[in-house]
Amino acid sequence: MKYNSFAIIFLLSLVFNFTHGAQRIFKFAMEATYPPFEMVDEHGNIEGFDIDIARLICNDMHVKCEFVNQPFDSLIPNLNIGKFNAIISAMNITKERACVVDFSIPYYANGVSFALPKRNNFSNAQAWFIGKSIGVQQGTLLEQFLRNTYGKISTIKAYASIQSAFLDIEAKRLDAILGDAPIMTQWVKLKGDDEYVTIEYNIIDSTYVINGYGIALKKGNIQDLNQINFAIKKLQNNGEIIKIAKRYFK
Amino acid sequence: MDLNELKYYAPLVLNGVFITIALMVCSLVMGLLLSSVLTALSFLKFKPLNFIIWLYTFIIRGTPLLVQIFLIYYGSAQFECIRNSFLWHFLKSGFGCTVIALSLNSSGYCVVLFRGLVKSIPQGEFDACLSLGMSKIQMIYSVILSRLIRIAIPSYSNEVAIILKSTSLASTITIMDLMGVTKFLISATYATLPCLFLAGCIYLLINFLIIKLYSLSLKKIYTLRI
Repeated sequence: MKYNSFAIIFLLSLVFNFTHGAQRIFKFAMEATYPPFEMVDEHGNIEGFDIDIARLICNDMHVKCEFVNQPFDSLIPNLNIGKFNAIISAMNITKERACVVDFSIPYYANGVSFALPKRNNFSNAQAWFIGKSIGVQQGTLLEQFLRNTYGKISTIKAYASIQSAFLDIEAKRLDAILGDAPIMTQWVKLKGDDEYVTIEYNIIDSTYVINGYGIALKKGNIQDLNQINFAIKKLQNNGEIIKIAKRYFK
Repeated sequence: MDLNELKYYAPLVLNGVFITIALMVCSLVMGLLLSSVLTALSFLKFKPLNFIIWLYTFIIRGTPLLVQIFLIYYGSAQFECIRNSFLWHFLKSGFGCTVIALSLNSSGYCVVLFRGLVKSIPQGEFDACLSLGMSKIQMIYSVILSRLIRIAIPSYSNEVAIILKSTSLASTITIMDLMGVTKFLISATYATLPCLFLAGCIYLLINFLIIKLYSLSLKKIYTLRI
């Protein structure tokens, strides 16, 4: 009996030590081929705007951050089977997504633009879209928008990574790409301004409102959601998010 | 996914099925032509040619289909000379690239299969033909070929099933085949499991129809005197 109670105390103290000593690990998932939001640098580390924000949120939550790289269209299914704790991947808050995951308050928002060769003279008119091939990232709000609005008159090509779309526009398989403005701007800058341009685009259809990027959590994870919302509010109030944005979206 | 959504997406799915079947049929026809030519060439007993065919099957069978598709789709676009040549008409579209990759792939496997089948025909039959005074062309056309078709069809059904399933890789290069449509539906509805299950069932159904068609044609061919 005496030995038993010793053993129990010993085991309990071990458990206590472990939980006390090690920080909880919090896994964020993203699709890291989306510079400057998330990308893999030359050392193989995931870096970017979202990562910096996730790190600050983790600091605030007193958890240890880990990052997981996944294809964009598999992020939500894998979140829901519990492969990671949250998604931060320049993911717009939409009605459809909010049906299956819980979103934090938006931490950032920006417009969308077309990137296209200068000679393709973009115009907003429906006539411009006839017979055009337009690239977009698979599984995004923009893919839904393009397919449902222009799917009948133009060819919509969806890519698992936006980088493949850039390859295809250089190969002249695409006439234009629709995507988040900072990504398009950065790519055009990289290519030199003389061949390609970006054109800001406003989606008027109210079905596809850009609500801003949110952090997605599994439904019902109220505690983490509240902590993340609290952290985002703090980062917005102390200007940290604007500071990071300035660094990445010059 | 409710009934309204299903009605809305049904034409999209049907279109996807159509593209999947078109991919399969085009690749099978091209693959069959290519592999027949290669098999015939390999019996010419010309050493360098045999080596080239061996190397071809070695490379095709030794590399993943996905790598081949990516190489053909993204690789071909890198060269200005290809972009300006007539080949670009096929390589420009993802459909053309997939058909090229799948038919190359299919022919790589079929050459090996067909060679084995030709070799399995007993030497006695060749001798019999020649002793009856048939010319080589006559022998191949009226005896060997009909014999070959009968023994090839059961083992070729493997190839058909594999090509059908391989067409799903086309969705990685922006083709809206059945798998591409499924991916779109998943991102539109987030009903991952039902969508994938539906896609699986449709693939199974297509395969079932092919098997039925096969057994019918087998019956026809076995009772037919060619």
